[in-house]
Amino acid sequence: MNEKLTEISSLLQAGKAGKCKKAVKAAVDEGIDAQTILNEALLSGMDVVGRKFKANEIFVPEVLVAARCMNKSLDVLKPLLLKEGSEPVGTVILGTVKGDLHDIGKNLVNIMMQGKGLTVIDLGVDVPAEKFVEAAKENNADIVACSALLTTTMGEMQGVVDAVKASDLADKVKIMIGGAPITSDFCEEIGADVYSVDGSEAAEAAYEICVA
Amino acid sequence: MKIKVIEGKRIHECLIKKNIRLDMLLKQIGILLDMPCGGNHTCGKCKVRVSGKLSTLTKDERKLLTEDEVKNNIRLACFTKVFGDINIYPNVDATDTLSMITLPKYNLTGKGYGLAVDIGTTTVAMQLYDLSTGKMLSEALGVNAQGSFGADVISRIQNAADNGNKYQQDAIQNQLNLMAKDCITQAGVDYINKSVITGNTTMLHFYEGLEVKNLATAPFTPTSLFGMKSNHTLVKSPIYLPKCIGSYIGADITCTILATEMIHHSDKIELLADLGTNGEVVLNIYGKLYCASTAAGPAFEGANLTFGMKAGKGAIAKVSIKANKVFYKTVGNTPAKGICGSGILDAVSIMLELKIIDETGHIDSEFEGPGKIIYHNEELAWQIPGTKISVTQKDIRQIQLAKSAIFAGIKTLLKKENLSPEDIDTFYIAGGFGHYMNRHSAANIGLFPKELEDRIKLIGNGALSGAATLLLDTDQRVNEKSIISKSKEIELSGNPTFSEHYVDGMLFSHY
Ligand code: B12
Ligand code: FES
Repeated sequence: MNEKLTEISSLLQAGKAGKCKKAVKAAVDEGIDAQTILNEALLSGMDVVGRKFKANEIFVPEVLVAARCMNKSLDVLKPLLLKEGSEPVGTVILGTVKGDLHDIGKNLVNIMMQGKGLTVIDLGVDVPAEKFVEAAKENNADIVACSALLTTTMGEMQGVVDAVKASDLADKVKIMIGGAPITSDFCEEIGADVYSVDGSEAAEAAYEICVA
Repeated sequence: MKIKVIEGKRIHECLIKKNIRLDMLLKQIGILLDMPCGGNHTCGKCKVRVSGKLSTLTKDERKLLTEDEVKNNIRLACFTKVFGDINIYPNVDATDTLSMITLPKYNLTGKGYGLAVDIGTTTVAMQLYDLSTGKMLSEALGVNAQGSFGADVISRIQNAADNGNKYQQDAIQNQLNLMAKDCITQAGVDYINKSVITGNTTMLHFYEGLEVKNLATAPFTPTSLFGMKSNHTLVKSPIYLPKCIGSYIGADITCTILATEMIHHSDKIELLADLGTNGEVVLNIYGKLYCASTAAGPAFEGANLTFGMKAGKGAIAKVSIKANKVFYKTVGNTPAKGICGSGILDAVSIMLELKIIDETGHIDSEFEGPGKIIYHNEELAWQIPGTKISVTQKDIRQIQLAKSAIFAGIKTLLKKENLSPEDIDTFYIAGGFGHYMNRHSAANIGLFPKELEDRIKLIGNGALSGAATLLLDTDQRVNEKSIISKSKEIELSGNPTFSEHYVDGMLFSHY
């Protein structure tokens, strides 16, 4: 692999936002195309971050710093990517369910999914079931992903499953759920499609769904 | 179907007719298990040794047990269904906690006898006072009988949503009645004139039997904030329920503030923290009170930790290091069975000192020194020398989540008026855990800003002190009212200042 790309990837893993952005600019100036920088430096760097997070080797702060690097660097790449007309892997509608305002876990899921090259539309917190469906329609989404951190709000996910099933999205959209009180049994019980324990596994699963 | 309960030499038998979930059965026959997640299949703490005609292990249940446990017929009660004859081997463990209180200045206004009660989510404390002398005549302490409906308020509210709140109301009312009778006998009195019962907002809802549903989802609307006479009586005495500040800043906090006399300190800047599951923090800025609930979680009560347990017999409560040798102490000086809040705080602090973990909390697998680096269920872990108890990488992550919640709560309140930790004159710490923890360890891992370590004043069960004060001196209701009017709840949800400090505060270097 190109030395520049390896450097970007390790700067991202180390969370050096300023240097990372600079290195991305340098790579662009050198004539490496944006898509390659994205895939082989930034996304591959995020992939390492995701795996380390899953293995408990690194924690929330380190992931968020890496995410900041990624966003800063994307500022440079985005206009170029648009020009190159690259095709995103898939689109995910993400949010914390109604009645619940916890968002740190959800934000990590967002980062990891972006790290897999997915387009993530984050609806924020306290999101009612209908809004998930609306956004999925509008954006022609592949996945609706819901987060809940309270035992009392996890029931809202049933509402999302029902709303999706009742809409014309039923066979098009897969439903993913997660958050500390969620289990795979619960996922089965409410008829959602995928449960993942952490952000890294969630991104992996989402990617599989979209490329399948 | 025959159920045999075998406790040492005592064997107790009963019959049941229908298939039933094991935790329900245990509840029916009066065996109270710790069920921190309230039977949601996530905490893995509802362990019980049981054999006989039972449902087979599911994948999720298997994941929460170790190989040894499976071999020893340990099951998780909330997963397991009883299909026929079984034997149960409960492992009852008395949790003894102390109620330590100091009363603020007060005048005696009553006659006869009264009861002051604090319904904590985990522990219930009661004291009987002679109202004409102010003397405390007897006291009783117990683990909240609602424990088997869930460890935290949300799990209990969910349970009430599924099964109604009558069971929990009965459980707590019966418990208080029994404790009151106990106090009366101990004190040798024959009647009670009045009572004051405090507790967090949810606990008071359950006691009164009010709808709790809206307390547990945004926007968290309480049915009542109390500050009124109860519709019930306690051993025939009328009850006053002090006023709550908000849905997650309860009457227990109002009472604790009363106990600190903070509202009279209008020339001072003071901080108060209750280091329980809800992790309430209050900042007094010249008589103005900012309050927040940080939702730290139950890690400091030992829940969520691999070898976590309450501060009962056999819990490692202290870990120290001298000349590169690690020492530990357990409650009751019995062999180490697990680790409780104060122990884990010490352990993590030592792990930092010895560089077993770095500032991000990562365990160094190549560490050489006191203790052993091992793998426990595939998790990297540090084994405390001389024990089979270890602190895993996952435990460290749980501690990071919990300690930073308190830390960020404090920082967020300070930020309201651009203050820094040095500006704080006194740091009051309420609650049993606060009493037993080593302050240096707490400061070292960043449970609060380092500057506060020397300014700590322990106030024990401030909620109970406040309740007693209201019981003895009716004029204190004026102070109670003024606390309410001077308090402002700071919402941490969706608060960018909190989020920022919360993430930074997870590190072991940022304080
Ligand atoms: C931080 C925190 C808060 C912050 C939230 C800040 C924010 N911006 O999010 C504040 C202080 C505001 C808060 C408030 C409350 N909280 Co709170 N909070 C916590 C705390 C300490 C940590 C949660 C967290 O961020 N974890 C870290 C993240 C990274 O983990 P995660 O969310 O689980 O996410 C991972 C996975 O679950 C998964 N995942 C998450 N979402 C999704 C989605 C999909 C689709 C997939 C596939 C995967 C996935 O991937 C993530 C990354 O790997 C926990 C206790 C604890 N120690 O865990 C309590 C806790 C969750 N809160 C609790 C409570 C009760 C509350 C309150 C209701 C009351 C209170 N104040 O005490 C309020 C209400 C707020 C509301 N309506 O939501 C309880 C819930 C109890 C229960 N049985 O449900 C807990 C457990 C604490 C306790 N008391 O025991 N809280
Ligand atoms: S797993 Fe059974 S109560 Fe938590």
